[in-house]
Amino acid sequence: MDAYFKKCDEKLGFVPNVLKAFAFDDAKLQAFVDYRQELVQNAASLSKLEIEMIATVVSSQNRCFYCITAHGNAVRQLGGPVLGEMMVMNYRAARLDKRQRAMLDFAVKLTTQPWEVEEEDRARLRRAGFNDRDIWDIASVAAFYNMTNRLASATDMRPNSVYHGQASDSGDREDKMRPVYLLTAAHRGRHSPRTSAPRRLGANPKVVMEEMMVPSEPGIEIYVRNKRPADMTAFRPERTLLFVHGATYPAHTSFDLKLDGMSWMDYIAARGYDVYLLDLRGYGKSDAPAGDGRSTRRQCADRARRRPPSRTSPRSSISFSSAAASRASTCWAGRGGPR
Amino acid sequence: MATYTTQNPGKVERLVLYAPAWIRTTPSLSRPAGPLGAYRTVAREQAQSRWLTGVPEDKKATLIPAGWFETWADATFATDPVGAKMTPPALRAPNGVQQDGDEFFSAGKPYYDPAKITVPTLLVHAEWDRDTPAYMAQTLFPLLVNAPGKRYVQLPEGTHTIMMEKNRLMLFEAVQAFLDESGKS
Repeated sequence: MDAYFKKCDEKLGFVPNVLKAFAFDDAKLQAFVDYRQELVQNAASLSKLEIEMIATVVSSQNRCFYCITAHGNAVRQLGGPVLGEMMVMNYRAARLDKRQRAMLDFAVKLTTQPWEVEEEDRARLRRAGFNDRDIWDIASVAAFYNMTNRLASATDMRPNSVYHGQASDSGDREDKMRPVYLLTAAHRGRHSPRTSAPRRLGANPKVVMEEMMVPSEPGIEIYVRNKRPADMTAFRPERTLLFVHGATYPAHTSFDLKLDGMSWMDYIAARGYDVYLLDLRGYGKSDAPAGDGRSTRRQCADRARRRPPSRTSPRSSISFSSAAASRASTCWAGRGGPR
Repeated sequence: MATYTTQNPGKVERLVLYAPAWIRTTPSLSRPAGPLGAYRTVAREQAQSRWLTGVPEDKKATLIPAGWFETWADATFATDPVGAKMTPPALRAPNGVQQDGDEFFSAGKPYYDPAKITVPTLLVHAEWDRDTPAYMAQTLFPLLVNAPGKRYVQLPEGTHTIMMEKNRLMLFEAVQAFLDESGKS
Protein backbone atom coordinates (compact mmCIF):
# COMPACT_ATOMS: atom_id res chain seq x y z
CA MET A 1 0.00 0.00 0.00
CA ASP A 2 3.01 2.27 -0.03
CA ALA A 3 2.21 3.10 -3.63
CA TYR A 4 -1.32 4.07 -2.67
CA PHE A 5 -0.07 6.35 0.08
CA LYS A 6 2.29 7.88 -2.40
CA LYS A 7 -0.56 8.48 -4.79
CA CYS A 8 -2.56 10.16 -2.02
CA ASP A 9 0.38 12.33 -1.26
CA GLU A 10 0.77 13.30 -4.90
CA LYS A 11 -2.90 14.02 -5.50
CA LEU A 12 -3.85 15.54 -2.17
CA GLY A 13 -0.55 16.61 -0.70
CA PHE A 14 -1.14 14.42 2.32
CA VAL A 15 -2.27 10.97 3.39
CA PRO A 16 -5.64 11.08 5.15
CA ASN A 17 -5.26 9.97 8.74
CA VAL A 18 -8.03 7.40 8.38
CA LEU A 19 -5.82 5.49 5.96
CA LYS A 20 -2.84 5.74 8.26
CA ALA A 21 -5.01 4.43 11.07
CA PHE A 22 -5.75 1.34 9.03
CA ALA A 23 -2.20 0.85 7.96
CA PHE A 24 -1.31 -1.60 10.69
CA ASP A 25 -3.22 -4.19 8.72
CA ASP A 26 -2.50 -4.13 5.03
CA ALA A 27 -5.28 -6.52 4.09
CA LYS A 28 -7.96 -4.52 5.89
CA LEU A 29 -6.65 -1.25 4.56
CA GLN A 30 -6.77 -2.64 1.03
CA ALA A 31 -10.31 -3.90 1.50
CA PHE A 32 -11.38 -0.58 2.99
CA VAL A 33 -9.87 1.42 0.16
CA ASP A 34 -11.28 -0.91 -2.49
CA TYR A 35 -14.78 -0.87 -1.08
CA ARG A 36 -14.85 2.89 -0.77
CA GLN A 37 -13.55 3.19 -4.31
CA GLU A 38 -16.24 0.83 -5.52
CA LEU A 39 -18.96 2.82 -3.76
CA VAL A 40 -17.80 6.12 -5.15
CA GLN A 41 -16.85 5.12 -8.66
CA ASN A 42 -19.60 2.69 -9.44
CA ALA A 43 -22.67 4.26 -7.99
CA ALA A 44 -25.10 4.10 -10.89
CA SER A 45 -26.76 7.46 -10.55
CA LEU A 46 -25.25 9.24 -7.57
CA SER A 47 -22.78 12.01 -8.27
CA LYS A 48 -19.58 12.42 -6.28
CA LEU A 49 -21.12 15.47 -4.66
CA GLU A 50 -24.22 13.52 -3.64
CA ILE A 51 -22.09 10.79 -2.13
CA GLU A 52 -20.19 13.40 -0.13
CA MET A 53 -23.48 14.98 0.92
CA ILE A 54 -24.66 11.65 2.28
CA ALA A 55 -21.32 11.09 4.02
CA THR A 56 -21.48 14.53 5.65
CA VAL A 57 -25.09 14.34 6.73
CA VAL A 58 -24.65 10.85 8.18
CA SER A 59 -21.50 11.99 9.99
CA SER A 60 -23.33 15.01 11.28
CA GLN A 61 -26.03 12.78 12.80
CA ASN A 62 -23.30 10.72 14.44
CA ARG A 63 -21.36 13.82 15.51
CA CYS A 64 -18.19 12.31 14.16
CA PHE A 65 -15.62 15.08 14.30
CA TYR A 66 -13.20 13.48 11.85
CA CYS A 67 -15.79 12.63 9.21
CA ILE A 68 -17.73 15.88 9.43
CA THR A 69 -14.49 17.76 8.96
CA ALA A 70 -13.23 15.70 6.06
CA HIS A 71 -16.50 15.21 4.18
CA GLY A 72 -17.84 18.67 4.96
CA ASN A 73 -14.69 19.90 3.34
CA ALA A 74 -15.32 17.74 0.30
CA VAL A 75 -18.84 19.17 -0.08
CA ARG A 76 -17.48 22.69 0.22
CA GLN A 77 -15.08 21.94 -2.58
CA LEU A 78 -17.51 20.21 -4.87
CA GLY A 79 -20.66 22.16 -4.16
CA GLY A 80 -19.56 25.44 -2.65
CA PRO A 81 -19.04 26.73 0.87
CA VAL A 82 -22.68 27.37 1.77
CA LEU A 83 -23.84 23.91 0.81
CA GLY A 84 -20.93 22.49 2.79
CA GLU A 85 -21.92 24.38 5.94
CA MET A 86 -25.55 23.34 5.60
CA MET A 87 -24.68 19.68 5.20
CA VAL A 88 -22.57 19.90 8.34
CA MET A 89 -25.04 21.83 10.47
CA ASN A 90 -28.51 20.99 9.26
CA TYR A 91 -29.19 19.72 5.77
CA ARG A 92 -32.83 20.71 6.11
CA ALA A 93 -31.73 24.33 5.76
CA ALA A 94 -30.60 23.69 2.20
CA ARG A 95 -32.99 24.29 -0.67
CA LEU A 96 -32.56 20.90 -2.22
CA ASP A 97 -34.57 19.40 -5.01
CA LYS A 98 -37.03 16.65 -4.17
CA ARG A 99 -34.61 13.95 -5.23
CA GLN A 100 -31.69 15.00 -3.05
CA ARG A 101 -33.93 15.77 -0.11
CA ALA A 102 -35.45 12.29 -0.27
CA MET A 103 -31.99 10.78 -0.55
CA LEU A 104 -30.72 12.57 2.56
CA ASP A 105 -33.90 11.95 4.57
CA PHE A 106 -33.49 8.26 3.85
CA ALA A 107 -29.82 8.26 4.82
CA VAL A 108 -30.61 10.07 8.07
CA LYS A 109 -33.41 7.73 9.03
CA LEU A 110 -31.21 4.76 8.27
CA THR A 111 -28.64 6.28 10.62
CA THR A 112 -30.80 7.36 13.52
CA GLN A 113 -33.75 4.96 13.39
CA PRO A 114 -32.79 2.10 11.12
CA TRP A 115 -35.41 -0.18 12.62
CA GLU A 116 -38.15 2.16 11.43
CA VAL A 117 -37.22 2.04 7.77
CA GLU A 118 -40.14 0.56 5.87
CA GLU A 119 -41.53 0.14 2.42
CA GLU A 120 -42.97 3.64 2.54
CA ASP A 121 -39.44 5.06 2.82
CA ARG A 122 -38.29 3.11 -0.21
CA ALA A 123 -41.43 4.13 -2.05
CA ARG A 124 -40.63 7.77 -1.44
CA LEU A 125 -37.22 7.30 -3.02
CA ARG A 126 -38.80 5.66 -6.04
CA ARG A 127 -41.25 8.55 -6.38
CA ALA A 128 -38.26 10.87 -6.33
CA GLY A 129 -36.79 9.05 -9.33
CA PHE A 130 -34.51 6.41 -7.81
CA ASN A 131 -34.62 2.78 -8.81
CA ASP A 132 -33.85 -0.18 -6.59
CA ARG A 133 -30.19 -0.19 -7.55
CA ASP A 134 -29.95 3.46 -6.49
CA ILE A 135 -31.63 2.66 -3.19
CA TRP A 136 -29.03 -0.02 -2.62
CA ASP A 137 -26.27 2.52 -3.37
CA ILE A 138 -27.70 5.18 -1.06
CA ALA A 139 -28.03 2.64 1.71
CA SER A 140 -24.51 1.33 1.08
CA VAL A 141 -22.98 4.79 1.25
CA ALA A 142 -24.92 5.66 4.39
CA ALA A 143 -23.98 2.35 5.99
CA PHE A 144 -20.33 2.67 5.04
CA TYR A 145 -20.02 6.08 6.65
CA ASN A 146 -21.90 4.90 9.70
CA MET A 147 -19.14 2.35 10.03
CA THR A 148 -16.31 4.85 9.60
CA ASN A 149 -18.01 7.27 12.01
CA ARG A 150 -18.01 4.62 14.67
CA LEU A 151 -14.43 3.59 14.02
CA ALA A 152 -13.28 7.19 14.17
CA SER A 153 -15.18 7.89 17.37
CA ALA A 154 -13.98 4.65 18.91
CA THR A 155 -10.33 5.47 18.28
CA ASP A 156 -10.30 9.27 18.66
CA MET A 157 -9.25 9.60 15.05
CA ARG A 158 -8.32 13.18 14.21
CA PRO A 159 -8.65 14.84 10.83
CA ASN A 160 -5.55 16.08 9.07
CA SER A 161 -5.39 19.74 9.99
CA VAL A 162 -5.18 20.71 6.35
CA TYR A 163 -8.89 19.96 6.00
CA HIS A 164 -9.72 22.84 8.26
CA GLY A 165 -8.10 25.41 6.05
CA GLN A 166 -9.09 23.77 2.81
CA ALA A 167 -11.49 25.54 0.49
CA SER A 168 -13.24 27.10 3.40
CA ASP A 169 -13.95 30.32 1.62
CA SER A 170 -13.97 29.33 -1.97
CA GLY A 171 -15.62 26.89 -4.24
CA ASP A 172 -12.82 27.29 -6.72
CA ARG A 173 -12.77 23.98 -8.46
CA GLU A 174 -9.56 24.69 -10.22
CA ASP A 175 -7.81 24.54 -6.88
CA LYS A 176 -9.31 21.25 -6.00
CA MET A 177 -6.55 18.87 -6.72
CA ARG A 178 -3.67 20.99 -5.62
CA PRO A 179 -1.75 19.86 -2.61
CA VAL A 180 -4.06 21.02 0.07
CA TYR A 181 -1.63 22.91 2.17
CA LEU A 182 -0.91 25.08 -0.79
CA LEU A 183 -4.58 25.96 -1.05
CA THR A 184 -4.31 28.36 1.81
CA ALA A 185 -1.94 30.42 -0.27
CA ALA A 186 -4.35 31.81 -2.79
CA HIS A 187 -3.21 34.02 -5.62
CA ARG A 188 -2.87 37.23 -3.73
CA GLY A 189 -0.14 39.68 -2.99
CA ARG A 190 3.22 40.48 -4.35
CA HIS A 191 5.00 37.22 -4.72
CA SER A 192 4.74 35.28 -7.86
CA PRO A 193 4.27 32.45 -8.04
CA ARG A 194 2.52 32.20 -4.73
CA THR A 195 2.82 28.50 -4.70
CA SER A 196 4.73 25.93 -6.58
CA ALA A 197 4.08 22.36 -7.39
CA PRO A 198 6.73 20.03 -6.06
CA ARG A 199 9.61 20.10 -8.44
CA ARG A 200 12.65 18.00 -8.80
CA LEU A 201 15.92 19.77 -8.48
CA GLY A 202 18.64 19.58 -11.04
CA ALA A 203 21.49 19.08 -8.66
CA ASN A 204 19.84 16.39 -6.65
CA PRO A 205 17.08 14.61 -8.53
CA LYS A 206 16.12 12.75 -5.40
CA VAL A 207 15.04 15.89 -3.51
CA VAL A 208 11.88 17.86 -4.29
CA MET A 209 11.08 21.41 -3.27
CA GLU A 210 7.81 23.18 -2.51
CA GLU A 211 7.24 26.80 -1.65
CA MET A 212 4.17 28.29 -0.05
CA MET A 213 2.84 31.54 1.30
CA VAL A 214 1.05 30.84 4.54
CA PRO A 215 -1.45 33.43 5.80
CA SER A 216 -0.74 34.82 9.24
CA GLU A 217 -2.42 37.97 10.48
CA PRO A 218 -4.44 39.95 7.92
CA GLY A 219 -2.06 41.35 5.35
CA ILE A 220 0.83 39.14 6.39
CA GLU A 221 1.82 35.99 4.60
CA ILE A 222 4.80 33.95 5.62
CA TYR A 223 7.13 32.32 3.14
CA VAL A 224 7.75 28.65 3.84
CA ARG A 225 9.96 26.33 1.83
CA ASN A 226 10.06 22.56 2.05
CA LYS A 227 12.59 20.10 0.69
CA ARG A 228 12.33 16.39 1.11
CA PRO A 229 13.26 13.15 -0.62
CA ALA A 230 11.12 12.69 -3.73
CA ASP A 231 10.10 9.21 -2.67
CA MET A 232 9.22 10.12 0.92
CA THR A 233 5.87 8.69 1.96
CA ALA A 234 6.13 8.31 5.71
CA PHE A 235 6.49 11.51 7.70
CA ARG A 236 7.79 10.96 11.18
CA PRO A 237 8.55 13.50 13.89
CA GLU A 238 12.16 12.41 14.18
CA ARG A 239 12.68 13.00 10.48
CA THR A 240 10.98 16.39 10.31
CA LEU A 241 13.05 19.48 10.72
CA LEU A 242 12.55 23.23 10.75
CA PHE A 243 15.19 25.89 10.18
CA VAL A 244 14.65 29.21 11.94
CA HIS A 245 16.89 32.13 11.04
CA GLY A 246 18.68 34.75 13.10
CA ALA A 247 18.40 38.48 13.67
CA THR A 248 19.40 40.03 10.38
CA TYR A 249 19.15 37.78 7.33
CA PRO A 250 16.34 35.65 5.96
CA ALA A 251 16.42 31.85 5.99
CA HIS A 252 16.09 30.93 2.34
CA THR A 253 19.26 32.74 1.22
CA SER A 254 21.45 31.01 3.77
CA PHE A 255 20.13 27.61 4.86
CA ASP A 256 19.13 26.91 1.28
CA LEU A 257 21.85 28.78 -0.58
CA LYS A 258 23.47 26.52 -3.11
CA LEU A 259 27.24 26.66 -2.75
CA ASP A 260 29.15 24.23 -4.92
CA GLY A 261 25.73 22.93 -5.92
CA MET A 262 24.49 22.09 -2.45
CA SER A 263 22.83 23.86 0.46
CA TRP A 264 22.58 22.74 4.07
CA MET A 265 18.89 22.14 3.46
CA ASP A 266 19.75 19.88 0.49
CA TYR A 267 22.30 18.04 2.62
CA ILE A 268 19.77 17.19 5.33
CA ALA A 269 16.88 16.42 2.96
CA ALA A 270 19.05 14.03 0.98
CA ARG A 271 19.62 12.14 4.23
CA GLY A 272 15.95 11.28 4.54
CA TYR A 273 14.50 14.34 6.27
CA ASP A 274 11.42 16.44 5.58
CA VAL A 275 12.97 19.88 5.97
CA TYR A 276 11.29 23.26 6.25
CA LEU A 277 12.49 26.80 6.52
CA LEU A 278 10.62 30.05 6.89
CA ASP A 279 11.39 33.72 6.57
CA LEU A 280 9.94 35.50 9.57
CA ARG A 281 7.73 38.50 8.91
CA GLY A 282 9.71 41.47 7.70
CA TYR A 283 12.45 39.21 6.34
CA GLY A 284 13.10 37.72 2.92
CA LYS A 285 10.03 36.72 0.97
CA SER A 286 7.57 37.12 3.81
CA ASP A 287 5.39 40.17 4.13
CA ALA A 288 6.50 42.97 6.36
CA PRO A 289 4.24 44.36 9.03
CA ALA A 290 2.73 47.68 8.10
CA GLY A 291 4.19 50.63 9.92
CA ASP A 292 6.39 49.94 12.84
CA GLY A 293 7.76 46.44 12.78
CA ARG A 294 9.50 46.70 16.05
CA SER A 295 8.46 44.05 18.40
CA THR A 296 9.43 40.66 17.19
CA ARG A 297 7.05 39.31 19.71
CA ARG A 298 4.48 40.07 17.10
CA GLN A 299 6.26 37.62 14.90
CA CYS A 300 5.25 34.97 17.30
CA ALA A 301 1.74 35.45 16.06
CA ASP A 302 2.92 33.89 12.83
CA ARG A 303 3.49 30.69 14.66
CA ALA A 304 0.12 30.70 16.32
CA ARG A 305 -1.90 31.56 13.28
CA ARG A 306 -0.58 29.57 10.47
CA ARG A 307 -1.34 25.99 9.99
CA PRO A 308 1.00 24.86 7.30
CA PRO A 309 1.81 21.46 5.95
CA SER A 310 1.01 19.28 8.82
CA ARG A 311 2.49 15.94 8.21
CA THR A 312 3.78 15.31 11.63
CA SER A 313 3.78 17.43 14.64
CA PRO A 314 6.82 17.16 16.82
CA ARG A 315 10.08 17.64 15.07
CA SER A 316 13.61 18.72 15.36
CA SER A 317 14.66 22.22 14.70
CA ILE A 318 17.80 24.09 13.99
CA SER A 319 17.78 27.59 15.21
CA PHE A 320 20.43 29.99 14.04
CA SER A 321 20.49 32.61 16.63
CA SER A 322 22.51 35.62 16.23
CA ALA A 323 22.19 38.25 18.88
CA ALA A 324 18.68 38.24 20.25
CA ALA A 325 17.50 35.89 17.63
CA SER A 326 17.02 32.86 19.70
CA ARG A 327 14.00 34.93 20.38
CA ALA A 328 13.18 35.35 16.76
CA SER A 329 13.44 31.66 16.60
CA THR A 330 10.94 31.23 19.34
CA CYS A 331 8.49 32.41 16.80
CA TRP A 332 7.05 30.00 14.41
CA ALA A 333 7.94 26.48 14.90
CA GLY A 334 4.77 24.84 15.78
CA ARG A 335 3.34 22.89 13.02
CA GLY A 336 0.56 21.89 15.24
CA GLY A 337 -2.01 19.43 14.28
CA PRO A 338 -2.43 15.74 14.28
CA ARG A 339 0.17 13.32 13.16
CA MET B 1 13.26 28.01 19.02
CA ALA B 2 14.63 27.69 22.51
CA THR B 3 11.74 29.67 23.98
CA TYR B 4 9.26 27.88 21.77
CA THR B 5 10.64 24.58 23.02
CA THR B 6 10.16 25.61 26.64
CA GLN B 7 6.56 26.49 25.87
CA ASN B 8 5.72 23.53 23.64
CA PRO B 9 7.73 20.58 24.89
CA GLY B 10 5.36 18.16 23.16
CA LYS B 11 5.99 19.62 19.75
CA VAL B 12 9.75 19.52 19.58
CA GLU B 13 11.74 16.30 19.66
CA ARG B 14 15.22 17.73 19.64
CA LEU B 15 16.72 21.12 19.45
CA VAL B 16 19.82 22.40 17.70
CA LEU B 17 20.98 25.86 18.65
CA TYR B 18 23.57 26.97 16.15
CA ALA B 19 25.50 29.97 17.49
CA PRO B 20 23.10 30.47 20.39
CA ALA B 21 22.56 33.85 21.99
CA TRP B 22 22.50 34.22 25.75
CA ILE B 23 23.16 36.94 28.33
CA ARG B 24 25.44 39.45 26.63
CA THR B 25 28.44 40.97 28.38
CA THR B 26 30.10 42.41 25.27
CA PRO B 27 28.67 44.90 22.76
CA SER B 28 26.44 43.57 20.01
CA LEU B 29 27.85 43.78 16.48
CA SER B 30 24.42 44.21 14.96
CA ARG B 31 22.93 46.81 17.32
CA PRO B 32 22.80 50.22 15.62
CA ALA B 33 23.63 53.21 17.80
CA GLY B 34 20.82 55.36 19.15
CA PRO B 35 17.09 54.87 19.36
CA LEU B 36 15.61 52.03 17.34
CA GLY B 37 13.37 52.59 14.35
CA ALA B 38 11.37 49.82 12.77
CA TYR B 39 14.32 48.72 10.66
CA ARG B 40 18.06 48.98 10.57
CA THR B 41 19.92 48.97 7.29
CA VAL B 42 22.92 46.87 6.44
CA ALA B 43 25.17 47.63 3.50
CA ARG B 44 27.03 44.93 1.65
CA GLU B 45 30.48 45.96 2.83
CA GLN B 46 29.21 46.21 6.38
CA ALA B 47 27.85 42.68 6.15
CA GLN B 48 31.22 41.46 4.96
CA SER B 49 33.22 43.18 7.68
CA ARG B 50 30.84 41.94 10.37
CA TRP B 51 31.14 38.44 8.98
CA LEU B 52 34.94 38.52 9.19
CA THR B 53 35.19 40.11 12.63
CA GLY B 54 37.28 37.92 14.87
CA VAL B 55 39.06 36.08 12.07
CA PRO B 56 42.86 36.24 12.29
CA GLU B 57 44.26 38.46 9.53
CA ASP B 58 46.20 35.68 7.86
CA LYS B 59 43.10 33.48 7.67
CA LYS B 60 40.66 36.01 6.26
CA ALA B 61 41.52 35.42 2.63
CA THR B 62 40.79 31.71 2.64
CA LEU B 63 37.90 31.46 5.09
CA ILE B 64 35.15 31.93 2.52
CA PRO B 65 35.70 30.01 -0.74
CA ALA B 66 35.87 32.22 -3.82
CA GLY B 67 32.51 33.52 -4.94
CA TRP B 68 30.52 32.32 -1.93
CA PHE B 69 30.19 35.69 -0.24
CA GLU B 70 29.01 37.25 -3.51
CA THR B 71 26.51 34.45 -4.09
CA TRP B 72 25.12 34.95 -0.60
CA ALA B 73 25.09 38.74 -0.75
CA ASP B 74 23.46 38.82 -4.21
CA ALA B 75 20.68 36.50 -3.08
CA THR B 76 20.19 38.16 0.28
CA PHE B 77 20.22 41.79 -0.81
CA ALA B 78 17.88 40.94 -3.68
CA THR B 79 15.18 40.12 -1.12
CA ASP B 80 14.75 43.81 -0.29
CA PRO B 81 13.78 45.82 -3.36
CA VAL B 82 13.16 48.93 -1.26
CA GLY B 83 16.60 48.75 0.31
CA ALA B 84 18.14 48.20 -3.13
CA LYS B 85 17.04 51.70 -4.15
CA MET B 86 18.80 53.33 -1.21
CA THR B 87 22.21 54.90 -1.56
CA PRO B 88 24.26 52.91 -0.92
CA PRO B 89 22.06 49.88 -1.55
CA ALA B 90 21.10 48.24 1.71
CA LEU B 91 19.17 45.42 3.28
CA ARG B 92 16.58 46.42 5.84
CA ALA B 93 16.30 44.15 8.86
CA PRO B 94 13.52 44.42 11.46
CA ASN B 95 14.61 45.82 14.80
CA GLY B 96 12.30 43.78 16.98
CA VAL B 97 15.21 41.53 17.80
CA GLN B 98 17.30 44.52 18.79
CA GLN B 99 14.58 45.80 21.08
CA ASP B 100 14.33 42.40 22.70
CA GLY B 101 18.11 42.31 22.97
CA ASP B 102 18.07 45.65 24.78
CA GLU B 103 15.40 44.47 27.18
CA PHE B 104 16.77 41.00 27.85
CA PHE B 105 20.16 39.59 26.94
CA SER B 106 21.93 42.96 26.90
CA ALA B 107 20.17 43.90 30.15
CA GLY B 108 21.46 40.78 31.84
CA LYS B 109 18.07 39.08 31.75
CA PRO B 110 17.37 35.65 30.33
CA TYR B 111 14.65 35.52 27.70
CA TYR B 112 13.67 31.97 28.62
CA ASP B 113 14.42 29.43 31.31
CA PRO B 114 16.88 26.84 29.96
CA ALA B 115 15.79 24.41 32.69
CA LYS B 116 12.46 24.14 30.89
CA ILE B 117 14.05 22.59 27.84
CA THR B 118 13.44 18.89 28.29
CA VAL B 119 14.51 17.51 24.91
CA PRO B 120 17.97 16.53 23.68
CA THR B 121 19.73 19.75 22.77
CA LEU B 122 22.84 20.49 20.75
CA LEU B 123 24.73 23.76 21.06
CA VAL B 124 27.08 24.22 18.13
CA HIS B 125 29.41 27.13 17.72
CA ALA B 126 32.55 28.16 15.84
CA GLU B 127 35.59 29.59 17.53
CA TRP B 128 35.84 32.95 15.74
CA ASP B 129 32.17 33.88 16.16
CA ARG B 130 32.06 37.43 17.55
CA ASP B 131 28.32 37.96 17.02
CA THR B 132 27.45 35.42 19.66
CA PRO B 133 30.80 34.76 21.33
CA ALA B 134 31.63 31.39 22.82
CA TYR B 135 30.94 32.56 26.37
CA MET B 136 27.23 32.60 25.54
CA ALA B 137 27.02 28.92 24.64
CA GLN B 138 29.36 28.07 27.49
CA THR B 139 27.17 29.88 30.01
CA LEU B 140 24.03 28.40 28.58
CA PHE B 141 25.21 24.81 28.48
CA PRO B 142 25.31 24.09 32.25
CA LEU B 143 21.88 25.73 32.61
CA LEU B 144 20.33 23.06 30.39
CA VAL B 145 19.80 20.88 33.43
CA ASN B 146 16.85 18.97 32.03
CA ALA B 147 17.97 18.39 28.46
CA PRO B 148 18.85 14.70 28.21
CA GLY B 149 21.90 13.88 26.13
CA LYS B 150 22.77 17.54 25.72
CA ARG B 151 25.86 18.31 23.67
CA TYR B 152 28.15 21.25 23.09
CA VAL B 153 30.29 21.24 19.97
CA GLN B 154 32.90 23.91 19.35
CA LEU B 155 34.13 23.96 15.75
CA PRO B 156 37.52 25.27 14.62
CA GLU B 157 38.25 28.00 12.11
CA GLY B 158 34.81 29.40 11.58
CA THR B 159 32.60 32.37 12.45
CA HIS B 160 28.96 33.03 13.18
CA THR B 161 28.39 32.16 9.53
CA ILE B 162 30.39 28.95 9.37
CA MET B 163 27.46 27.40 7.50
CA MET B 164 28.70 29.25 4.41
CA GLU B 165 32.44 28.91 4.94
CA LYS B 166 35.08 26.37 3.98
CA ASN B 167 34.47 24.35 7.15
CA ARG B 168 30.71 24.12 6.72
CA LEU B 169 30.80 20.34 6.36
CA MET B 170 32.08 20.07 9.92
CA LEU B 171 28.95 21.87 11.02
CA PHE B 172 26.70 19.77 8.80
CA GLU B 173 28.24 16.56 10.05
CA ALA B 174 28.05 17.50 13.72
CA VAL B 175 24.38 18.48 13.41
CA GLN B 176 23.53 15.46 11.27
CA ALA B 177 25.06 13.06 13.76
CA PHE B 178 22.97 14.61 16.50
CA LEU B 179 19.76 14.51 14.44
CA ASP B 180 20.35 10.93 13.36
CA GLU B 181 20.51 9.80 16.96
CA SER B 182 16.77 10.26 17.07
CA GLY B 183 14.91 7.13 16.23
CA LYS B 184 17.93 4.93 16.76
CA SER B 185 17.25 4.19 20.40
